[in-house]
Amino acid sequence: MSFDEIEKLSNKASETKIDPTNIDHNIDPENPEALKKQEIKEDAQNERFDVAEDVVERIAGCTQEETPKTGLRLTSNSLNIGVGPWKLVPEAVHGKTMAGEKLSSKDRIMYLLMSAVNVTGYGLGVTGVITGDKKMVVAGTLSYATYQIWFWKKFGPKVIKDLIELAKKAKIRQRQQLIIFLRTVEQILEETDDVEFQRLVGGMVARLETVKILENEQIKKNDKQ
Amino acid sequence: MTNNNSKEYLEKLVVELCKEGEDKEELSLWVDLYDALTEDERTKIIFNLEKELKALKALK
Repeated sequence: MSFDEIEKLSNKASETKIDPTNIDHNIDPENPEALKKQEIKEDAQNERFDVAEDVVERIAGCTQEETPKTGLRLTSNSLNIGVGPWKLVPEAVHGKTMAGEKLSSKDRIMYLLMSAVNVTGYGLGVTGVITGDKKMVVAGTLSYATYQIWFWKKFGPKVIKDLIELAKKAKIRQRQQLIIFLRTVEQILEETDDVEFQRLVGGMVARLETVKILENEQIKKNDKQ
Repeated sequence: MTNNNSKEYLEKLVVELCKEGEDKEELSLWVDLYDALTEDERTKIIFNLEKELKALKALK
């Protein structure tokens, strides 16, 4: 799928009409208790969604308006590559898939958290990083693999150069973030048949092997102490 | 509202809410995220779950 196609789908999702009642249509409309129960659940889920939004801002280190347009920095929780103002992924905003199907509340929050992944570099696996769940890193980022391929093709050389500079300066915890990122990229490489992407990112992975070496050296040093 | 912000209490609330038919997958996600949340975020989530549980129980 090309980026143009992704963009079209994204625009289509933005145009999706939202059901203002946000009611699960499997609920019997003649059953007032079931409707009330559903309403309570929806209200509570929306409140949790607001908290998830706060979490995303915190991870990103800034609000949508404050996102740096360019630049690359490491925070305590993430590797942050700012390449443009971030926005919530359409699925999170609308609570629906691009095909218009209603998302489960878990998936809606997952999509929202994936917005943080977008914020912090189009798939650096921050969702997984903050939860400490490697599987989530892979799952969260792989679903955006196509988008990432476009991203790396467009911004790759600049980001790679900056990443290497960052890796040299990174502290132990930040290096761990970079290593998680590298593993994620390796996983994506295994999943794609895109030769150009493999060449571009494969080269970066090889160069960033130095980060792993530095990490191992640090661990050995710590063990001795 | 309780001042208990512990993970164990959050898990307990999740179990109770699942009995009320809440989405287990979503609520389990909050348990997974617990360690990454700030105290304020934990308070908000726990307050939210307590409120929902109370409202659902009041329907019976």
